[in-house]
Parts: sequence; structure tokens; C-alpha cells
Amino acid sequence: MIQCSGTHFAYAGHQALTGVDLTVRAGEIVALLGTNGAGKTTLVDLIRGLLSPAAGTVRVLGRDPCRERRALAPLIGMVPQDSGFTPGLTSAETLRLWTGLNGRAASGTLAEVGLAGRARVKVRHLSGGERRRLDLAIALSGDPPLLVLDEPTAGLDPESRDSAWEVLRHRVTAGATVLVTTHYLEEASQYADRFVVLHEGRVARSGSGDAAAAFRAVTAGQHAAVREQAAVREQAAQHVAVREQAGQDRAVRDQAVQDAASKGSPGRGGAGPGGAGPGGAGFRGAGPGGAGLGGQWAAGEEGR
Amino acid sequence: MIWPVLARAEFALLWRSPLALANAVLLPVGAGVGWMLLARDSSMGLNADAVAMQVLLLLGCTPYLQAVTMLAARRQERVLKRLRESALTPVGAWAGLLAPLVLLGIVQTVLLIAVTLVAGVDPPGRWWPLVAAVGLGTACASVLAVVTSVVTPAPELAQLTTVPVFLTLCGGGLWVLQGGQWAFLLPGGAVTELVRLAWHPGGAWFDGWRDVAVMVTIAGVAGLLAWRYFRWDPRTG
Repeated sequence: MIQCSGTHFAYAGHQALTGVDLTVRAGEIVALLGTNGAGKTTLVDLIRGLLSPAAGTVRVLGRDPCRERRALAPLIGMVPQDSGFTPGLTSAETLRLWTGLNGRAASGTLAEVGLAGRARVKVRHLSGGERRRLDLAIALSGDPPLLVLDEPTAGLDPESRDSAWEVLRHRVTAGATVLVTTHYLEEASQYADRFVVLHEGRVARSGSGDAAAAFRAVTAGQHAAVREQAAVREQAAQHVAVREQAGQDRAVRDQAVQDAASKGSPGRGGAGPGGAGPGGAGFRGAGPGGAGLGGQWAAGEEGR
Repeated sequence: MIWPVLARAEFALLWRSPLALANAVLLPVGAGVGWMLLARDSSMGLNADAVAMQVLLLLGCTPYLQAVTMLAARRQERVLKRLRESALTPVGAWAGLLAPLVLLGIVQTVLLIAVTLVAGVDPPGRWWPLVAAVGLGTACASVLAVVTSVVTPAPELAQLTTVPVFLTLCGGGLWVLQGGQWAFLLPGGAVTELVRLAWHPGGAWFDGWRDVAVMVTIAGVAGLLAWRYFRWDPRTG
């Protein structure tokens, strides 16, 4: 149903996909996993024909999705990442509109996603989860043989997520094929036939079973790097704090020196009665406080 | 053809939004009737020139200003982004989105001309220049709306971004009334000349066709610009 071979794609110098190979066979649910920015949506957009690969090939239902996007539209039920609904239309009207604009006939999928009772409610009054379910209803409407769903369960409560997966399972039993991106690893393990983990634009792992373990294995290296970076940042922050403290100390010392000078030196600050007192001498450098401050500042300077 | 599906939804939206409907109907019709009364009571008189200015006001309001506002709103709602991903062609998407306002604009113009005739203006001697003025003027205004929407990031900014074209439309008409030699090169000027020609047949045979050619050229160039620069995705920065 879907065949990507050596697919490359770059956005303005950033390599989003590097030689991705992906095959989705008829009658299976494949979960596409990956961290934010791993390239999942880019791959979905290539499969939907919204982007053209820089190198490699993408075939959907045996056709080039980029060149034959409009011919493929009736055959692919899609859930995009952004809903893009007109708030003033009702759920039923929205379903009819977007199903019609994809060349399919609207069917009773509102009931399938639990929105039958909200058919006459305007989209502006639907909750975020209900809008997501409306998206799914549009994708399912007209029984397309292929479903490409970009995070269809995002924002749904756990019960609705389970229901959505059950609907997809039911569709697959009826002959559909599903490619779905998700961040819910446990659901991918439970409901998908296979999973593919994308990492930094490459297929890092694929298989079936425990998607969560595979995902964590792939991202473990990344987590270590993040921890290392955090440690470096913490060290740098400590250095800055030391320098700041040293700067404050020097300001105090300079002020004390200035005060002592004004009290002790007749030529500068006037010949007051306490002008040449012991405190003044001590702060000038002979006293313990003065020496201590000077030493810390020197250390601070070295630290710079 | 699937764009009528979109047009039907846009009709429903226009019909059920009292504010949009009032804006689309009362504003231009009120302005048009106001201009008619002004013309009747002034030295201009109630004649072809008054009709031309009414037509320009309606073109500037409904198929232009309202259309720019609607396109900016649909972009902000990410509807345009989704339309680009549907089976519709870009031209099909524009046709579906603009059809209700185009139809509304034509109905308003026909109504206003009918009112003007009832108010005492003689019927035009030739109808085709008037039909061409309304038809091509609507087409020009609609395509210019698509182009203007490119520089209109939000619907509330349409009041600002539409000013240059709106003034050019009305200004072209006024320039013709002032006897401007090159005014026909502006869409408003060409519309005004065609309306005048409807009531005052005569002159060179190519007079009307020259205006038609100007409007077709303006619509064509604007269409190319729209094809090249139209934004389907909302601005994020």
C-alpha cells in the first residue's frame, strides 16, 4: 500500500529525512513513532503528496502521490496534524464538506466516533477532543482503503483513545490499511501490528511488540547527551555565580578603600578627627579583611 | 467538479452569520442608494455616471473587501491549508470560496440598477457594455481580492490592506468623470467607461472592446500573481 525507498527530504538546509525505507502492507496497522522533530509529519506529508522527496521514491497504492495527489485523495482517509475547520459549520456539515472535497460520499461515521449526538452542534462549540474525533470521522467516511493519520488520538481522554483504536482495528478487519503517528507508546504496542521508530530523520528501529522499549532504546543515547549538556550548563552557571560574587566583593572593597581614604588622608577627604584610624589602615590592604577580599577577586579573575 | 460542495458551505456560513450578511448586503446597498440620492440632488444628476459609481462601490465592497476578509479568515482558521490538501485544484478552491460573494455582488448590482431605473433613469441603449462592466468588474474585483489576501495576515487587517485597490477602483471612475484620458487603464475607469457606453452608444467601435481588453488583462495578470504568491498556510512569524 505504501512503499518509501531511500527517501530524503530537507527543509532549508535542515535534513529532515535521510534515506528512509518504509513499507506498509495491505491490512496492517503500522505505528510511526519518534520524538518531536524526528521526521514523522514530514514522512506523512510525503506520503500524502504534499511534499516531493529530494531523493528516493514514495509510492502509495502503486502511484506517485506527489503527481497524482488529487487522484489519490478519494482513496486515502487522512487526519492532518491541524484540523482546519470552519467554526460556523455543524459537525454533520463539516463531515459532508470535507468528505465531498476529497471525492467521497459521506457515511455515518459520526456515530462510529461517538459524535452522533453532536451532529447539529457547530464546530466552535466542540471540545478539542471532539474536534479530533470529527477529524477521524472525516478520514473514515466513504470507506477509503488506506488511512494515514497524524496523531489522531492527541488530546483525547484515555477512554476515547481506546475507542479510536478499536475503530481502527475494526476497519482493518474490514480490509483497510492504517499508517498512524503517535506519541502514545503503550497504545502502539497494544494496537499496532508493527511499529517504526524514526530518529533524526532515519528509521532507527522497527518491529512488533514492545514499542516503548524500542523507543527508549533509541532515545537513550539522546537522553545521555541531554544530561551531559545539562551538567556542562550547570558548571558554567556556577562559574558565572562565582564571578558575580567576586565582582560584588570587589565593589565592597573599593568602597571601603574609598571611605578609608576619605577619612585618613587630610589632603583628600579633609583632616577629620578619625581620619587615620586603625580601620582605615586595615582596609587598605594590611588588614585581614582586605587581604581576603583581594585574594578572592584574584581567584575570580583567574576563573574568567 | 467538486467546488460547488465548498460553495454550498460558504453560502450556509454567509446566510447564518447576521454580521457578515449585514456587512455584505446593507453596507454596499446603503452606500449605493446613498450615492444615488446624492447624485440626484447634486449637479451630477441621476444618470449613467451615478450608476457607474454605484457599480464601483458595490464591486469594491462585496466581491473585493468582503472576499479579502473571508479569505484571511479562512487562512487563519487553517481551512485554506486543508483545502490545498484536498482533491480541489487551487482554482476550484478559489471558485468555491468566492462563489457566494460573487453571486451576491451581481445580485446587489442588478437590484441597484433596477432601483435606479425605477427612480427615473432611462434604460440603457445597449445592454452588453453594462453586462460586461458588471461581469468583468466582478471577475477583476474577485481576482484582486485573492491577490490582496496574500498581504492580509488577519481578517481585521483587511480594512487596511484593501484601501489601495478600493481607492483605485473608485478613483478610476472619478477620473473618467473628470475626463481623464488614461483612466480606462484602471479597472474602475474601464467599468465606468463601459457603463457610460451602455447609456450613450456611439463613438468608435473599439471603445467598449478596449475597456474589455483592459479588464481581461488586469484579471489575467492578477490571476498569475495569485497563482504564484497565494498563501495557503497561516503566517506563523
